[in-house]
Amino acid sequence: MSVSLGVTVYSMTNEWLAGRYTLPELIDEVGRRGLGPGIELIGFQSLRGFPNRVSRDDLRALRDAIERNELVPTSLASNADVARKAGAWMGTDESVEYMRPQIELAGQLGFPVVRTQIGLTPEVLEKLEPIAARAKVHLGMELHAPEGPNTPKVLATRELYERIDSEYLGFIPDFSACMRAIPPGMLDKLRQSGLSQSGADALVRAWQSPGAPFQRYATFVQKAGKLGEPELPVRQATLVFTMIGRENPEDWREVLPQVRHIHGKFYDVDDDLISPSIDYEALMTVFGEADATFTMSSEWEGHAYLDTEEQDAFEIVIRHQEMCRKFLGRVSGEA
Amino acid sequence: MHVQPEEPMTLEASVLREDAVRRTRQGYEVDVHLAWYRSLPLSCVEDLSIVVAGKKASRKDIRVLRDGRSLTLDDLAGLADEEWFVQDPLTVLVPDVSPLAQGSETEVEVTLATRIPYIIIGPEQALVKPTHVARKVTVR
Repeated sequence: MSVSLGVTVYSMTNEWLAGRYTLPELIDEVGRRGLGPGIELIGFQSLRGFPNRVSRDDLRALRDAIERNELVPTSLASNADVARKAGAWMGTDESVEYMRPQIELAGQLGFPVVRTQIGLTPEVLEKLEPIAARAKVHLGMELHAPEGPNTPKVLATRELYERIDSEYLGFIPDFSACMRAIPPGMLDKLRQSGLSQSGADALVRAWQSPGAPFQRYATFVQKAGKLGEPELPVRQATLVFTMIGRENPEDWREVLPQVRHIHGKFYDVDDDLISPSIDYEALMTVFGEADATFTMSSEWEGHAYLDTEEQDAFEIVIRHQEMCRKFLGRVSGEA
Repeated sequence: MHVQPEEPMTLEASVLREDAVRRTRQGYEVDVHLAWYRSLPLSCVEDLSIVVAGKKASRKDIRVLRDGRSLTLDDLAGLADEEWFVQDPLTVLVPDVSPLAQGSETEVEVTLATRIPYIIIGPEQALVKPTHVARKVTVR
């Protein structure tokens, strides 16, 4: 098997926001339920005072929890926050200094990868490369909907990567970029918010039609207006166009040498271990056949529309990993 | 992560809790939680208003209580290095000369606008996420 499974605790966002766990408790639960070996976190979600003022006690508690559960740190997610000050956005040097402690802390904690976002410009990335190399941390730019491996912003980054040619600059494919359907549960929620069946049909058609995401959303808004759909679900439907991309799973092959980690984004796994909205069979074939071992975090994002009473995040991550093992087993001929 | 919708459907669930409102001599203290998946700098709080028992406190009326300080919303705009940790409430003082007694049931409404500092939606324009939550609570 050339994909090693794990989880990002971002999957447990609802449980976290409700204050049900401290970070060590959450990691213990990940260990108890066997969701590892890989463990990923978002610095600004999981650590108080990230990145400069995390207490020594909290850092030690995090290391201890990872160790006692025999987990392996995979990726620490950073944020660029260029608009932190209204009216005084960060320039290149300020951005570099904002990212530096996030990268250095990842190195201290033993995370081999820092997840970066598409907002980082080539100028910033070029200045971050030596910082990452010194910390022995690989920068993985997350390729997330509405972007994909071949959209213009990503092509600009690929050009930079080719020019600098450093192992410390790479990508994290996120399967939101290449979905095959709107998650049925998301459509259910929009109908509960008042969208009619004709409105839902129009939404699906607009999502499937050609064009840029925001143009397709505009087409849907126009159609919804004619159908007299209520405002709330029409506004909520923006997420269909920004979070659910339609790139081809096969396109990931072009960036395989630069893949540093994978976000196994998912919303749903049915009783037959199939995800209606994402073609995991195709994806596990692409990454499972590659001549490398990748780490992949199960990243459940159904918490965008389901609360903790409707879906236990730990349970659905277990099912996701069963599904991934099934398809990876077929690739390696074990099944 | 991720361009979220303008009104996500569940991040709101934790914003106002059953024990969010406490009576004080000056009015109420209201605990408001962030409707986002990660911590944000205080400078990203763009606007906040709270209605308790039908009386609305707006920008100029409310104060944020933090580490012994009483801060206006304009003060928050300058606090880019202070964090609103995602699991912590922001404690907001809502002035009222005749607050309801402890044990009273009442409706509370919070309207919050937070700038999401890494989701850029246009030239020099970051996403501002509106949050609106209303619920019944018992005054503590």
